[in-house]
Amino acid sequence: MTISIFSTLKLFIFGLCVFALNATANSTNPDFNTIWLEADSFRKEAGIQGHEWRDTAKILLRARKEFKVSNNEKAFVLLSKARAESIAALAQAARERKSWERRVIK
Amino acid sequence: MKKLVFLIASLALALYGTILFAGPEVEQAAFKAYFHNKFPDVDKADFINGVYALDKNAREQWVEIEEFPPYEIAIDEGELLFNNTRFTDGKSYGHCFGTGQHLRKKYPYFDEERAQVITVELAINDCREKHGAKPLKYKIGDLAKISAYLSYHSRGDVIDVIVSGSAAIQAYNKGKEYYYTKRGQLNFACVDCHVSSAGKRLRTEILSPSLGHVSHFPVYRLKWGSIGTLHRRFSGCNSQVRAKSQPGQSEDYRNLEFFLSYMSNDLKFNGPGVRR
Ligand code: HEC
Repeated sequence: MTISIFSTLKLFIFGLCVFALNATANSTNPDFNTIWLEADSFRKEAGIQGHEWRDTAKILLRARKEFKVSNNEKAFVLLSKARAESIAALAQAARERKSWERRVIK
Repeated sequence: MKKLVFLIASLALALYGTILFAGPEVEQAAFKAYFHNKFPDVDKADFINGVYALDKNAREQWVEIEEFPPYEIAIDEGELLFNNTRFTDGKSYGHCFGTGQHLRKKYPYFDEERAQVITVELAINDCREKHGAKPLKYKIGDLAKISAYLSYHSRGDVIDVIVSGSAAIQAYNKGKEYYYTKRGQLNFACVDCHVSSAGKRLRTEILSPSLGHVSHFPVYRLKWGSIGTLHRRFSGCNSQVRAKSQPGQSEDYRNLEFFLSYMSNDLKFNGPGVRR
């Protein structure tokens, strides 16, 4: 029960952030911030699981910078790269939970 | 009846066997045996010299560098820092570490009360904070120099890490998992480079065996142009495979150090070292 309240609250805060960022965004493409926040939350989750990749955070920041100066095309390329990295890192974490033990020298 | 006794006896034996054969001790023996078999010509005590135990050419260059070792300044500065630092309460490092001689072999150890691995670098900052001083940076600088001084005065002592009790075994197991887990965009685990590929070339460098890895830190690296701690090296190896590295003395790194040190038990401390 507490867990579901907690996750609802998290979702709510997440929604608020998305709303706030969308409201301040000056672009015609409001999706950027939504995708950015999602990618960043994947990155953070990978980090919690000890599997964040080296450059993901930097790429996300660069994407944001490009977006700010209306370099939308570049911004989206970077964003999708960072998003793909985060998802791959999470997949790696899940895979490794099952496979690291096989490598132990016996 | 006889059958039942036999059954119970064999079950008990099997249980005892799994406890006996799956613990740190057995894993350590297997780890060492792997390297001893892979490199039968290398003297067992020589694994503390890393890549120089494996490659003759690299060893010759290294022996030459060791004639005027670039880490000597760090030892001297570390000695001054160790002996001359006075904290605001008038105390010194000596209040925590005595003379500083033969200290290295006490670390890393598992502190039951704090329920965590304590490394020598962590202990240095603990000492500072206990006496009202700010902690030092963990990977470079003064702390690495003090560590170099302490290592120097522990040369020849035997690595003797104890893993006993369920909490310590848990820390060991976490370190083990870290060691064997693939990370980063390049999807490599420590074991991939420092076990199966030990002795092979990776770009310009020859890969060292993990056995003996902890013996000679901190290390003066020519590439760094300065002395750095073991955790600085860990984070370098993380970055190399494009994984996010961790801060010095993170719990993961300390558990990793605990595991790796235990794997190198019975070898001798020979720090500080010099590496390319
Ligand atoms: C992609 C290969 C690669 C991976 C993966 C890797 N390392 Fe390394 N590591 C190197 C190279 C290259 C060096 C420098 C040459 C040498 O001494 O092996 C090095 C050096 C080291 C050294 C210093 C050796 C010495 O004698 O001073 C330590 C300690 C070390 N690695 C630990 C680790 C740990 C722990 C991991 C896992 C977190 C790891 N490495 C993962 C490539 C790797």
